[in-house]
Amino acid sequence: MLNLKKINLLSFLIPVLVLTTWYIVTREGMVPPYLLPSPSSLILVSIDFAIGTLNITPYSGTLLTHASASITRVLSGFALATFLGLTLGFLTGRSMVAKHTFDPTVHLIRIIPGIGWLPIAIVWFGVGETTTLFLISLAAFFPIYVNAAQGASSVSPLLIRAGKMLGANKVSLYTTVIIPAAMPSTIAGLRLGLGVSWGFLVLGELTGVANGLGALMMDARMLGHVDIILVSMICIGILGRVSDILLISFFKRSGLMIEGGNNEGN
Amino acid sequence: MKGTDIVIKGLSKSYNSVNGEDSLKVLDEVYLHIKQGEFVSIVGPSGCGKSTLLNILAGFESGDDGVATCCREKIEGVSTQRAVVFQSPVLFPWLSVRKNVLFGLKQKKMDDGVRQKLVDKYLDAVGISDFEHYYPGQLSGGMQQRVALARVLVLDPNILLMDEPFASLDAQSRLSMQELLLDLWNKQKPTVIFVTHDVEEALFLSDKVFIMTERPGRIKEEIDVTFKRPRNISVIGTPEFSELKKHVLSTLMSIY
Repeated sequence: MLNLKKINLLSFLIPVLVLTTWYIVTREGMVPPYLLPSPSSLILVSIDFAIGTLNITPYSGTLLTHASASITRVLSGFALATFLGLTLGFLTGRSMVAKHTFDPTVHLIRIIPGIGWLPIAIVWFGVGETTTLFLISLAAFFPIYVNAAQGASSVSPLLIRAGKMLGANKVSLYTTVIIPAAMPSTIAGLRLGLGVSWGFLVLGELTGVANGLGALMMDARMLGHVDIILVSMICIGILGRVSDILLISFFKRSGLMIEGGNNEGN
Repeated sequence: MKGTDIVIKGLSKSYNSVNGEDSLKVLDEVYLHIKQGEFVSIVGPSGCGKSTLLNILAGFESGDDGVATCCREKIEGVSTQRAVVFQSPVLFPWLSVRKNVLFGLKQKKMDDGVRQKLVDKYLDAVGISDFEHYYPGQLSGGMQQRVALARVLVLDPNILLMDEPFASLDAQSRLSMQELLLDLWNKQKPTVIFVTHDVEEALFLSDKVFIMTERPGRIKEEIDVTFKRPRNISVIGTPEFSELKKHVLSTLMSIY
């Protein structure tokens, strides 16, 4: 539960200052509404966007459609990246043959910025769905792969010996010792990957898909609805944070994430 | 000679330096014969190759020359029949105490009810039943070593290899662990090979003490310890014990 003692008033200083300034500059007309709507009108637009009873924008009541399209894309891309990243990462982390085979190429490709893949992705997959999925999984793959490999390669040799001595064979050594011991680093990689997924979701959707929060932002920009652009940004922020919290609670619940790290080896 | 005796003949082992030019010889023609069910200790100066010898017996490493056999077979690779208790507990920190003890049984095909009963029995035997739902990180070093002991004894190994397992414990926990170990050994009678640098500990626990030389390690002397069993702490106060301790210490001193 929320621990009130832990909340420091200083944490509210900047948000309150920003909100106050925002309120004043929009109310006094220092900034015109087509650049920045007032906080109160933004709240109304948000509510209308979510439940659609006010009909004040053309996007009234479409939150669920756009958000679910975006969430589906992020989950598919992230799932693909997780599957490839973990499989390859755990493999190269423990096998020199796999490391020499895959690692140099992966790191070579990693140097190319994710955004740099956009033009070629459009050429290959066309504008839209597949390109978005490709960009998300490509970008999320690297942090997941690198951290899983790092985690797997730094498992304490004593833990490996203990596992073998207790009868673990090649396969069960992976499932019962190496992967659990590599979890702290792996989870860090998955969190980074999930964060990156939201970033590349927006990039992919900006290029032109029918729905999704990124597409909405682009559409709203063309129709001059700066309020909807801002609301979409806030939605992506919230969804990103919520997905991160869900990811962590999943690992805490599964018992694979414990306080104080998994790889002490003593 | 019984089937499960451990026989080591002319075992040598060297380590290469990083650049591969120099090699460091740690074991030099070690001969050992350990009977089934015996409790033996290996004492010797630091760096004399005690731990290397134990690692070879465990199957973690292999010797360069000579052979180490167990059950008339050359030791190659690890086996659950040769259990190891390390110097540090090396428990799986992401598993509860209970699941740590369950780990080895889970690797075998067997009825889960039988597994759970065995775990209960050994948690109780080492006195950690009340802590079964704790994580290793929440326990003291002595308690962790109890878990480490339980997780190998539950597999009923023929041979128990122990590498200075109580070295980092305080005096009281060490003493209670020694008594616990003797008690469990008496019930299960595995062959125990106990590496230590504590002469008193070696004499208190063992049937036989092997004294090793400085690196490269060889067996310098083999001492039979014949104090009546079951032993308790009072044996340490007897003149015979002091005499034997003096003898072992002077042998160790003459090595330097």
